[in-house]
Amino acid sequence: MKYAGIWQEMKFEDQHPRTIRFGDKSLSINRMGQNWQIGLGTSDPQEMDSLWSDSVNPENQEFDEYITEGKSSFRLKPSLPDKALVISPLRPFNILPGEKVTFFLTLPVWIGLSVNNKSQKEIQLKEFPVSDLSQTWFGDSLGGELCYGLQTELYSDWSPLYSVPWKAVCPLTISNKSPEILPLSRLCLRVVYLSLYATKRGYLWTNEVKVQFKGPDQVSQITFGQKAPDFEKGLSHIRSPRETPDKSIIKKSFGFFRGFSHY
Amino acid sequence: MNYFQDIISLSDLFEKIDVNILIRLCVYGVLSFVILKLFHLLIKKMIRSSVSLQTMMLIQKSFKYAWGIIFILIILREFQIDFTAILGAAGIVGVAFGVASRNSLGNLISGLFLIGEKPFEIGDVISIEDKKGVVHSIDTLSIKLRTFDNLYVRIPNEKIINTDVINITRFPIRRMDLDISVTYAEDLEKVMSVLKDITLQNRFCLNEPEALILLKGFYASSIDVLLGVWFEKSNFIQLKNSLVLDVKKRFDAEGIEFAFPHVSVYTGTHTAPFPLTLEKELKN
Repeated sequence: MKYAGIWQEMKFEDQHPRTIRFGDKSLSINRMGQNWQIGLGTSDPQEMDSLWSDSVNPENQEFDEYITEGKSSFRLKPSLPDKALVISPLRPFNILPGEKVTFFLTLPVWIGLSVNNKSQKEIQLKEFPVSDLSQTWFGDSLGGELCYGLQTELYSDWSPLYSVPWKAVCPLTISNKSPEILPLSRLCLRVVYLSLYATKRGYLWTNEVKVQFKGPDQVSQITFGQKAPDFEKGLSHIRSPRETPDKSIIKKSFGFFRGFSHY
Repeated sequence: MNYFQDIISLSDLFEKIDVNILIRLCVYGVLSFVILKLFHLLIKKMIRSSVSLQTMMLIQKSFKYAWGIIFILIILREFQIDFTAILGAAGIVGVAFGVASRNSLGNLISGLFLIGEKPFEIGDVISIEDKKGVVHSIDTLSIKLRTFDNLYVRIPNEKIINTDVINITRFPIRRMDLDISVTYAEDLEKVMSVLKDITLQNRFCLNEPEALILLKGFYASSIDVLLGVWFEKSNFIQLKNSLVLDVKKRFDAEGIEFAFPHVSVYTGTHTAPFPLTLEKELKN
């Protein structure tokens, strides 16, 4: 239960600064009177033995100050990246015609810090990516899209993916409905249409994504689940998608997905 | 001259002006102003998301000029000025005006071509001869650029039609080329591998399309390498600065030597070192 309660509202004791470490990023929080001091810096992941620390290292932090008369509590809110992810499996593989495979992969999240203002409205003060992802281009130079690149392992079982709460487990089902072998080396995953769900222990899940490949010259159907995935029980919804998928956006996604196998 | 005397004489005009006409003109003026403002607001609200800034500006200007003409006609009617006589005079004035404004007409027609061809839009960064800047407006006679050192540059449309125009920001991604010269002693495979690694580590370089690393050839003092990295068009300055810094740091760390122009002087027919003889020992 190391990370239980990480996404819930937390009380803050005045003038007792705290640092939260997310991999090699650290977020420092302090409250002095009406001022919130929020610092973002780096930390050595090797030295990370606990998520929380009661000290603040001012040398590698950049502090921003916010003033509010709201109550002394804050909430950490995870979200998925603001652009699509181009997934490159560490071990590219092929899916035979007629096959349907379900994989699990972990997606890096962004962390937002919210506090309540005087009228108890939740205001997000800061949002930062836990992992600095490289940028990449998906599609042709005219109609393509700027994405983040992510090299990752695709797993057939999700249980080994519970390591840290700032990576979300994403179930991905690919059906090869074409008469050809599908070489899976790059896949554009539109994470802006995915919600986040948390387990009681603080680990994150996204909706299920289903892709039907109908051939390199055919549009491929991508559907995003609208509810929590069935693989884990007791998931609670904690973040809505950045963009709501509708018919037109799904249509647009087909176009992007169309050329992924021969890009 | 008789034409103008027929059309209007100042004494007639003053006789026709009374308080009622003045009030009506004021009301028309205020109404025109309000209608123009309302129209601009409506355009902004209703079609801003569906049309480009340039089209919006074109619609607004067309409406403004059309409304101006209507307003002038209303004034003429209020003063009971003979409109057919004005049209007659307009023929003569038009010829004179046309002769006097040949260049302007050329610019006007070029402007229409530019609007139809759309080589650039408002907000694009373009380069014309030695001028480079953001397109501020595209008007009937000229385009206006805002240069990066914040100068306002007017370029006649006719000149743009007859000159090479480079639209720098037309496509969402661009390639930045960096020429790097290394000495002949360097291991070129290692140089290429280090450059590849630099592009993968730099967060402003796109992973795809892949960076171009090209050994350009043997030059007088160096072997030149072209490093072409793709980037999102808004990251030009960040990429340029970070890439040069990264290359310098990594080459220093890896012991790769940058080449610079130099001349080696040899004696004799072979490339033996230049013979130097120490004739006198220097004392401290």
